[in-house]
Amino acid sequence: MNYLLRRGCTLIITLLFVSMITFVLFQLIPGDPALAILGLDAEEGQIQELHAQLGLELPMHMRYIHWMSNVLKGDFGASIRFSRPVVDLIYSRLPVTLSLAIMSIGIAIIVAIPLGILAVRSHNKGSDYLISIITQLGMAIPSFWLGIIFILIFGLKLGWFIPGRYIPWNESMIGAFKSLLFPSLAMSIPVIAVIIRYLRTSLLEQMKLDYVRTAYSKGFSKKLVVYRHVLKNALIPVITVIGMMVASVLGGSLVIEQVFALPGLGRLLVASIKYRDIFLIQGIVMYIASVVIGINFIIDILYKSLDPRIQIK
Amino acid sequence: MNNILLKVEDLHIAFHTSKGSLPAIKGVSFEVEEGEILGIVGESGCGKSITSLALMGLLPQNSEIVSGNIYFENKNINSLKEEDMQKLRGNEISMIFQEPMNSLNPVYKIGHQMIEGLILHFGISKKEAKERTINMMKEVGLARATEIFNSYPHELSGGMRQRIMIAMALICKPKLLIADEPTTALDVTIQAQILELMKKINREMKTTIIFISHDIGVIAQTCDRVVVMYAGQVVEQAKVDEIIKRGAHPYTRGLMEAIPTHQKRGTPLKAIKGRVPSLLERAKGCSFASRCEKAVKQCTEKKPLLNSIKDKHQVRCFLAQEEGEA
Repeated sequence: MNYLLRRGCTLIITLLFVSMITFVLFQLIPGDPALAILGLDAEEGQIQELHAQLGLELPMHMRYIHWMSNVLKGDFGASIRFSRPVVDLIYSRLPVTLSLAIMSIGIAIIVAIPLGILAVRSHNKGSDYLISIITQLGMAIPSFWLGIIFILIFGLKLGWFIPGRYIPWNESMIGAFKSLLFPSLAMSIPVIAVIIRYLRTSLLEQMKLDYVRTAYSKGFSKKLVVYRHVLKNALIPVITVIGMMVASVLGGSLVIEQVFALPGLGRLLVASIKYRDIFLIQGIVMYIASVVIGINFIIDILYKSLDPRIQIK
Repeated sequence: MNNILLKVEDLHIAFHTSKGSLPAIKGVSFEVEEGEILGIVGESGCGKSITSLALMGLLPQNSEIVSGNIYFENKNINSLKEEDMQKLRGNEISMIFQEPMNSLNPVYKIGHQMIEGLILHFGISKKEAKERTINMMKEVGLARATEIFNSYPHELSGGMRQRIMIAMALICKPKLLIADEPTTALDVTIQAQILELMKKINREMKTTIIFISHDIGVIAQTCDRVVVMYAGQVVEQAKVDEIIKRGAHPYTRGLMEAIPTHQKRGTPLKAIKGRVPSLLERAKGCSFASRCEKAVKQCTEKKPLLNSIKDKHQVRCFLAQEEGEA
């Protein structure tokens, strides 16, 4: 409990810093949101009126305090471009991003962990080499290219899904699944490759340790030694990598959402930057920062549950 | 005479390296009688551990039995299929290792690691396995067995961990226990306790033990018979008293002289000069000749054979015969 409390404090302080840095950074980059709204040939009076309306004429620290006090009340301000509360906008895009994240990471874990184990169980034999070659390829192929190929083959040729049309979950479960499956696959393939590589290295590293010899000396087969003794140890470093990838896909996948025309957070972020939609940008950045910090927290807990030597103090 | 439990016959083991195939064990033969404690002694790199791993069928991947046979209860076990070997391992033949610190899996509880062998070989229930495990833990002198059963390895001391390893190795009541330097990593007081425990196990459970150590003093305290190994060969074997009183090979004597004792107080401790030759170095004559104070010309030219100088006392040295007569 004490640990959770202190962890919570660090979390808040980190978020505070993130908020300051994003706030200052987006004040520094050139471009006036008023101009983005009114157009370049807007009159001076109009611009000033809008500035006053948006609260842009106050000094920077005042604006920050104003924004922050609203944030603490759960109000992230309204998007300049969409004239809707930032929270609503993020909330409306979350189903797509969350579904993509859960599906792609789910697929990645289900595929990568058995393959990583297989590679080690057949170390220096055919399937190990084959898996190595495939993982190299998987890491080298960019996901946008995979996305395009998937659209071409599964969307246009085979007609398994309609490219460019996203069906929300509440409209049709099957339709939503179909429209999200291929983007998730395209996202998961590089993740699969990375997890296999880490898991394989970590397993091979563990296989050299003394406790493995003890397990063999009890009469276990290699299969049982790997599953019952080595895997749990080997997963500890792999968890970090998986956590990093979860955090990155939860922030929205810019490229995949663009290629498949999905209304996710990634595209919202790109649009908001283009329009100097300051409150929206700040809102999304805060969301991403919280996700990353939250995932790190979960990883720490997982570590503890996998490795009893780690003491949470 | 007792039955022969294990017989090693002209065992040759080679390591495959980038420099070609290097012989590590060059024709080792010995027998282990049922109920005895056989000591194998020699410096690091003499091939003691490799020999013991070969008995378990657990040689490292880059090494291989080139020729020779290992008989366990008159059954040739180095031609056994891996599945059949797995049935022996941990069940009929068990092994404990040098490093109790690293020999247990850090992420599982002690109890979990101890019962799994029982369940594997006997297919008994978890509850029964736990009962037997706790009894065995008490047997090896672990008080508070139930508490330890639910602990993780890092929560225990080195001596406790080695007791756990011993209990784990004995859990299926094996006929043969191979102990590879079981006390080397421990404090002297703990070391004495573990040696006592090994003797007790031998006496009370009738477990035959192969006790491997680089410390001939430890061997002398524990074993019935001794095999002295040097550079992948047996250089001398005899009953332990015989070795202590009339050790005939200069290497054996060197090891004896290197033990610090009360009598030697005040005099410089003798050590065998030089080091064990690496696998790459191949001597034409006796492999010990370069370190031997008594070496004569023929020692560097011809390889000595293992000769009996007495009943059950064999030595691989040209000079031993003459000294034995003298």
